[in-house]
Amino acid sequence: MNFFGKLTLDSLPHVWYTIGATVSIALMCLAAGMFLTKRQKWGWLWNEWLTSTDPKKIGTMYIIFATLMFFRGMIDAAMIWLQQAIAADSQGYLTADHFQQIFTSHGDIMVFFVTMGFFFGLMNWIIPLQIGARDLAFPFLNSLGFWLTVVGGILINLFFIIGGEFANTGWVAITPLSGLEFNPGVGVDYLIWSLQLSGLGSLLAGLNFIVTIIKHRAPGMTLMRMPLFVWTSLCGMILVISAFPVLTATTLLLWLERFFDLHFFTASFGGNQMMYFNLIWMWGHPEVYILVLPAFGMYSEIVSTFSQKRIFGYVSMVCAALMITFLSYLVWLHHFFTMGSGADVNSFFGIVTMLIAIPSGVQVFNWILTMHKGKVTFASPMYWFVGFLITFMIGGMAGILMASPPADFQVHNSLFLIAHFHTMVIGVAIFGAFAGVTYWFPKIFGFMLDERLGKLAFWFWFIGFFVSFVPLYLLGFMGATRRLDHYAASTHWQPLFITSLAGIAIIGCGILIQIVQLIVSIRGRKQVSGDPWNGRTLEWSTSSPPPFYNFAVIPTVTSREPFWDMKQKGMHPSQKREEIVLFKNTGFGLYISGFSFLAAFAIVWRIYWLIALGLLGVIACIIILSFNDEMEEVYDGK
Amino acid sequence: MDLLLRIIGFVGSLILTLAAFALIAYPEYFGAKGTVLAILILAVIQFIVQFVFFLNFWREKSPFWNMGILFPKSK
Amino acid sequence: MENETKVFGFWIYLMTDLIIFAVLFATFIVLHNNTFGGPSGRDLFSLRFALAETLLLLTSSFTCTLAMLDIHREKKKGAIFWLLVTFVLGVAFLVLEWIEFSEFIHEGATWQRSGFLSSYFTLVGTHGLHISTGLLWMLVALFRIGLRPLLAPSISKIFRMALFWHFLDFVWIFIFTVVYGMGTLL
Repeated sequence: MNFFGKLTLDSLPHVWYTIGATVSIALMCLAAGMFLTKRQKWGWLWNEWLTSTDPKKIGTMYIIFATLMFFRGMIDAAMIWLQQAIAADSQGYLTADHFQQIFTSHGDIMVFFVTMGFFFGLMNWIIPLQIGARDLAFPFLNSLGFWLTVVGGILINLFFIIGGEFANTGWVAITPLSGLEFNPGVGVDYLIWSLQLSGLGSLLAGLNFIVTIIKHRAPGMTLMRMPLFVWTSLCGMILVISAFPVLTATTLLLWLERFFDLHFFTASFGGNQMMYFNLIWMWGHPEVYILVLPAFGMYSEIVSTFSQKRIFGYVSMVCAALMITFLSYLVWLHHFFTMGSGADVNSFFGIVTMLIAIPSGVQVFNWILTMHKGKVTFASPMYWFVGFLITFMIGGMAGILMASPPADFQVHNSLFLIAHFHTMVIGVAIFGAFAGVTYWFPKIFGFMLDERLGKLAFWFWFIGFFVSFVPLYLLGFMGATRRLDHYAASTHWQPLFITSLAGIAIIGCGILIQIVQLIVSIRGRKQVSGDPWNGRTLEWSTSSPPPFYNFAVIPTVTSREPFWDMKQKGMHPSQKREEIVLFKNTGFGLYISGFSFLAAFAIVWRIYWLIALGLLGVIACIIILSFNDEMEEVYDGK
Repeated sequence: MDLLLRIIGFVGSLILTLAAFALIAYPEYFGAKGTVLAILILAVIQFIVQFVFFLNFWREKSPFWNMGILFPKSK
Repeated sequence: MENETKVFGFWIYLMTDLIIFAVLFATFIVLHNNTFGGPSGRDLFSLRFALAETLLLLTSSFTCTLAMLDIHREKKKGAIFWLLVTFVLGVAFLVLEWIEFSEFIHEGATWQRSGFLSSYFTLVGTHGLHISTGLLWMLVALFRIGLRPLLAPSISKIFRMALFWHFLDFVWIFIFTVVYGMGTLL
């Protein structure tokens, strides 16, 4: 048995893109290291950030992490677009296998690390503030969940440095292509273990948020007085804890099959490939609702604040979120209508899929009615909201079209599908992340983002999005399937692909403007009050940024818009501090994640002694931690 | 009293287990499908018995029961 | 109450673990007749083994409740005794399962042989891994009772261990019903 498992010198970078990526990663780490050393901030980094259990710090780290992964995902997207624009009657500049690896990693990174990273970041920051709490229910698990996600993010990028190949199977790693017979290399294993670790992180976060929302609300805040962002996040987290275990189990089965040569999904020996489809989409469909529900809540907050009006139809909004949560479990088969389930089964799933339009419609009407007769200010978060509204309508209608099985037979796995789901994730989730970050930026960092540049960036994103994706809708109808690395010029598709490429160039400009916006805002920063937008919910009653304990005194809540009522009555939050109990910093989240990373890496490369070491490390950390009964610190009122 | 509840739970589970195994060993009585249905029902009943008697789930003091999620929450 | 929150959180974790088992159960049910010419449940399973394993685990669940009763009455010695009994019963369960697996492998009914066998070993094996984890947790709990006073943080952690152990017995009820019952009958 080889001491290094499957690792050889060949695993080191020797192709243009692995060398390029390795050099980039090395340079970035070097730059960060030099900066920290020069400013002597290693200790500060460790004490203030890496070992912190404060959800505000963890939230900021999630957002930074998501932003980094966003750049990686966008580079993948740009490479895909470029390839498709030039590959008419030619192989383009990418081999087929490389192209497949790119779209696989693009999907997994955007779904697991970018969107969920942004959302967990904002939820960590805002949910405790909105419910009048100081922390999440399980501060240690919060830290652990974050570091597991980061470690998953490292694993998904590690192949550049060690291994040189990633999964080429598509983002959900369909069998039997992802099985041992057709993909014996390390690529699929990297994907599986990246998802396992970050999936575990997401599960812990979901658990944490649910217990926090159910158990740690301020006195007087009944469930029906919670802000809508908290409600939709709760629904999203319910989906997380019920769907992610399915992903864990399914990818576990796939890994077992690959590692031990078993037969769950193989083409012979009694395997059943359709079972993989059912299992993975049983996770996959709730997952996409996890990607949109928190965003819906963010939009509700934004519309209400910038219309200076209570959200219209609060109860129906809550019901809509719950209905979406419930229905999302009943539609998974619409991802594979064409795979022979028969008309009866297809009809059931088609009808239920269409039913989801109802709660979605309810929400849209409620948002519009909130704006009606309100004093609407179009600050930049509202720009993102209006952009979302238009985009959501179009993407949603495309979805309803595909919900009909006969129609879906024409457009299944065509670029029409790609256009639909990108409309949803970009229009709802990414625009939502931008809207949320813009809206809560002053609360988080204490100064405003430049409004003019923000609005300009929006226009580039919005126009660029349509220039990119309308051609894809058309291409889908013209018969272009997804994941094509080259095609015949006689199809006349190329002009549309080139238009699409222009679209991403426009989006690229939008991103550049956002970077400039950040730099300009930091340079010209002025401290803002706790309430720069004239907000209505509790987070605006604290300073910007809030003190580490959030609230000096936990407020008692008497309505759905506690801060707005406080302002109307001319009340101020109490300045006197009561006794505050907070969780201490701990490095164990890092240590456990570190050992998990070693174990996962060792599993990918079959380095058996390292697997054992990693697992023993994790177990030892957990046992040592369990004997530490004093993880909390008391701050008396000063 | 607590001890008695747990002994009842244990004996009840024992009976349900033995019954299930007896049915599996002699499937002629209910037929294959009938036996499977019967043992599934026995399994659910045993689950409930263990849940109630081993975990003492009807006690008012049990924190899980008294979630009070719809009422104002005091910390 | 802080303890209440932790127990609630632990229940939610147990539900997620249950869903993982549900997927493994579903896989077994779908694949249990995919023997690919190899042995089936009817050929392999011995009801005597399954019954013995079930009785061992059931009794250990019972003795675990006795240990928890002693903990609530602050009887350290009683708690340690009953937890040790639970531990020994749990180890005996694993030994029987190990013997059962070894016999199957010896007869050529390996994990790799067919879809049926892959799903059988994975489902029962995952349960066995959970039992091993529970036993390790039990050892840690025994240390805790021995070394520390029986205050709220300790009781809370030991209670969660007991919940975990009961949960594993619940899952086993369905394993013997679905795997050894349905697996041999249908």
